[in-house]
Amino acid sequence: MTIMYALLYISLYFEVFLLISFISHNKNKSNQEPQASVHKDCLPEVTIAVPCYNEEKSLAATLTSLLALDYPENKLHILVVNDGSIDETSNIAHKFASEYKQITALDKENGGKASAMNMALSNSNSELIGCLDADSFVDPSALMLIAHQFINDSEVSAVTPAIMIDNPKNILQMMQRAEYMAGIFMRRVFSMIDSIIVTPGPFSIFRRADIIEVSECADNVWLHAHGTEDFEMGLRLQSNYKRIANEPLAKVMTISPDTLYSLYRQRIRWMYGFLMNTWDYKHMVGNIKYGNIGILVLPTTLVSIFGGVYVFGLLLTNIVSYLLDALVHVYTAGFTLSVPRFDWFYINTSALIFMVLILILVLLIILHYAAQISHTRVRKRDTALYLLLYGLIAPVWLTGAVVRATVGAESKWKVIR
Amino acid sequence: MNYKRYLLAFIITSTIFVTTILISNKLSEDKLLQVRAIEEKMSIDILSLETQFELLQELSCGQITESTILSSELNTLGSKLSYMEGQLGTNDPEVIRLKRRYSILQIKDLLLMRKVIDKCDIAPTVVLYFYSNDGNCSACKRQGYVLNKLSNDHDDLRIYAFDANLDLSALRTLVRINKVGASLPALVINGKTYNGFKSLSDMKVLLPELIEETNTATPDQTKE
Repeated sequence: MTIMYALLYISLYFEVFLLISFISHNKNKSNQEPQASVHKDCLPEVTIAVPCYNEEKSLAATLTSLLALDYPENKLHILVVNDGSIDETSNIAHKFASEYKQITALDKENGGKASAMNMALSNSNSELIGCLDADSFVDPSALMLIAHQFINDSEVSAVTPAIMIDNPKNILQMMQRAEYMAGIFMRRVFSMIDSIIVTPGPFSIFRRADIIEVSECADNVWLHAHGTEDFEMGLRLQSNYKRIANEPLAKVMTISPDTLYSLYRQRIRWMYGFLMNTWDYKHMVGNIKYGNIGILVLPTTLVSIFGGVYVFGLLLTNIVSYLLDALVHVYTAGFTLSVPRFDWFYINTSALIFMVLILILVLLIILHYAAQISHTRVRKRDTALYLLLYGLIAPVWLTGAVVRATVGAESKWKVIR
Repeated sequence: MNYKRYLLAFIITSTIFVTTILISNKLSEDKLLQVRAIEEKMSIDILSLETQFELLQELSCGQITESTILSSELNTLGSKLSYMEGQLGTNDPEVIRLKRRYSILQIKDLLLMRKVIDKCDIAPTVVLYFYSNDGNCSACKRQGYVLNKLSNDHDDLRIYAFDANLDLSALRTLVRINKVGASLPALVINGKTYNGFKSLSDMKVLLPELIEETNTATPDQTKE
């Protein structure tokens, strides 16, 4: 029980810290002068790489969304890197390239997303380079908003967008939509406290000079990094004291897993990647030299992963014990169906329950702020599904990732997204 | 890095945490007070019945049986106490104190019941159940399920459950009188003590009057 209280305290402390940071930053911001927009001739050149492996279904929509970006044509280059797809991806890419001069299509042998990004980097020379996974679509204003972040702050090395779920069709995807909304808030606050640790695949944009500066070799900027090059890039930039900003109005829609199994696979990969990359950058954990990221964000994230595994174990033990008890009951006294009578006396009023309710309340506040900063709305149904399902299924992949990291079994999935 | 923010978060989180624990403790205390109030009421009811019994030797059996609804209150009390035991733990001093009072109330109700049985022509089946929740009685939980089932099925079955580990002289005397051994669970049925787990079918053999009652009830039910 003490461990449980400790975990709840840490979770609550983290959420309270983020809320305080958000509120105080917003208070300071409201006193600042609004920033002027930049003339289009002064905008930096940008290359958006679209690494893809067997993305015939979504590539056309992804490229169409890039072509619709509100950004000067002569300043935007789109580079499709076909990473050895065995479907129609290459044909679609070349067809677009022949129709639009902004688009270039490249083919290579399958080598993973990091190698595709490196190829894009060596085939471009723009000031900014970004990535858009071929299962994602950008809002027309996204790039302009992100470019302004680079222009207004020369210290910024990377800018992350607000990622949202595209057209959810089932309860799993609706649950993820609320989860991604909470992610918008988190990323925003992490950027306020200089603690973004991941530069996600959908439309993170980098300052070319800075990512080359933090790399050992200019030809190998993106590393395989246990299948999660976006975690590694985030940690590498932070470990070199580079700034990663966030633009909550730069919206990117992404296709989310629609089955429990595909969601599990995706999250196992993310969690495993996080654990392994954190291990590679373990000198940052608990190190005050790295500021909030070292003493708060990384330790709390690790605690929450192991805490999730602990809670999952506890939950599983309780469920098994309850079922065994029920079996013994039926075996010894037969099956009896009785309608329980309601009595306030039997309502659980333990501190643990109150703590969980407070955490839920804080989460609702976070979702409210997420909607506010991204100018969208949070659907009640998504929130309800998130609260009901996430706590039950997330510990499964947390446990899976911890086991995988412990036994050192790296993900072998070939899909590069 | 803004250390003030860390401190502020610590103060807010700790305030929420401590307040939550205080509120939870207050609610638990209120529940225990509720249990204590029921115990006090029952204590007065039993005392009143005993006094009535002493004062009016000729008290009609009808009146007596009407007043013996106390046992159902005892059941409610027992279930609330058991819930609080689950919430606060078996070692909580207040829970132990309330359990001791509850055991005394049960013994008093048992003695009163015996007087009623002697005086009136009614013969409710009485079972004394001795258990332990110290973790050394694996069969006690199963025995509890069996007795609950019987109690739900037969209204005139009176079960008095005692935690044999409670430090209570009256309970120790009851244990000694009934020759309850160290091996728990133990049942006392019609003055005879049985040690060890008794299944539903064992109980039906030990309580033939219950089977009789069921058999006699069957034709009435089939008439409908």
